[in-house]
Amino acid sequence: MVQFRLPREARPVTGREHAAPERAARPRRFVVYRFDPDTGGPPRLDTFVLDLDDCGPMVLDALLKIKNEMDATLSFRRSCREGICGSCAMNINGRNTLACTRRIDAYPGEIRVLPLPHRPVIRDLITDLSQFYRQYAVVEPWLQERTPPPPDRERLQRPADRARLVGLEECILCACCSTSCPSYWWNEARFLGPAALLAAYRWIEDSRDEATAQRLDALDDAYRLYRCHTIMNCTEACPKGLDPARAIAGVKRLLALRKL
Amino acid sequence: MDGVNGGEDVGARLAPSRAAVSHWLGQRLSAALLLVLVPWLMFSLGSAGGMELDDLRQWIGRPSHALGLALFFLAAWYHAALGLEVVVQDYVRPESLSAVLVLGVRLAAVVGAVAAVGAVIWIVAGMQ
Ligand code: SF4
Ligand code: SF4
Ligand code: FES
Repeated sequence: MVQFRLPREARPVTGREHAAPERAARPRRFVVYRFDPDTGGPPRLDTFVLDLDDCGPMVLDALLKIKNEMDATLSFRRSCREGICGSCAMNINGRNTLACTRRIDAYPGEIRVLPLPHRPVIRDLITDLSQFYRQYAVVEPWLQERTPPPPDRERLQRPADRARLVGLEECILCACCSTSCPSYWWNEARFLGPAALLAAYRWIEDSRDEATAQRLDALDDAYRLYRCHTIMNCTEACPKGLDPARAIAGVKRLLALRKL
Repeated sequence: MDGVNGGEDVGARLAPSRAAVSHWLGQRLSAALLLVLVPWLMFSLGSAGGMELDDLRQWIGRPSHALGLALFFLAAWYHAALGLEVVVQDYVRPESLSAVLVLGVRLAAVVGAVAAVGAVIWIVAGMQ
């Protein structure tokens, strides 16, 4: 059977408590997942109490404050701090999202910050996404042409054709969607997951791409595509407001139309 | 590093199986058929609440009823088999066991469908 629970040694235990600074006007508790591969032992949930009057507005600001002032060993990925690089994807209060675009005051009380679910944890909030990137590579996410390009200009696209890519090409590969999909949890080895399938549909829909038939062939597979059972967690999770479930339905529709 | 359920990227190395769209289409088409046949059957048999065994035989013996009933059994077994296959493929590991179970599901469905349709034919033949 597929594995439904974490093995005992991977279930987090209660960790250290870092108290609020004295005279904190607006204390707020952050519970953060910690795992150190070098010391071994089970992961811990450490608590940090911050004064929100002395902290930036976003969850990422809180993590940076913890790292800078309370515990320099806290590890997480971040780069752009404006929702465009996809590095800071994590699970905040039970939902996969970007720490840099989530306001602290959007959450009522204690804020629990865990790594993306169902990925091997490398350290603290950093997970191993190599499988996720390999799946992206499987859909060959680049323009494929059979006919030579016009000699005197680039391949042009009509505005109406370009418009078909809106909602597909904005994906930042943060992995919030795939790691929130139960089907992906049970079948990550063979199901490509919503992010890769959204990318596949992006190239299928591109008027300039000439490999549509091969792309559809490559997806006509019980595991790669059809493990999606339209649970819609992916769409719910996407911090960019994209709709991978609809893109997957689009691929299924094209395959069915081709068959009929 | 390996993943949690199933490890390395088997999916990237295996060629796509190709026939999967038929499975998906079959599921939708049989569901559409059942959407018509199940209410028809419930309505017909519901209004036959106090029927004696002989009356039921008579009812099944009508060619249009027999045809509808046979169609219902075929669609129902087909739909059930496709659905069970999905559940097996979703949750059963290792994949060798999952493949054996899928074959078992298909076999059971064929036996069930043949038995059900055979019974209808048998009743109709008995009426002549
Ligand atoms: S619709 Fe559901 S099953 Fe399909 S990819 Fe999205 S979350 Fe997964
Ligand atoms: S579709 Fe959305 S959630 Fe999924 S990887 Fe792209 S941006 Fe992230
Ligand atoms: S830091 Fe780049 S998306 Fe959050």
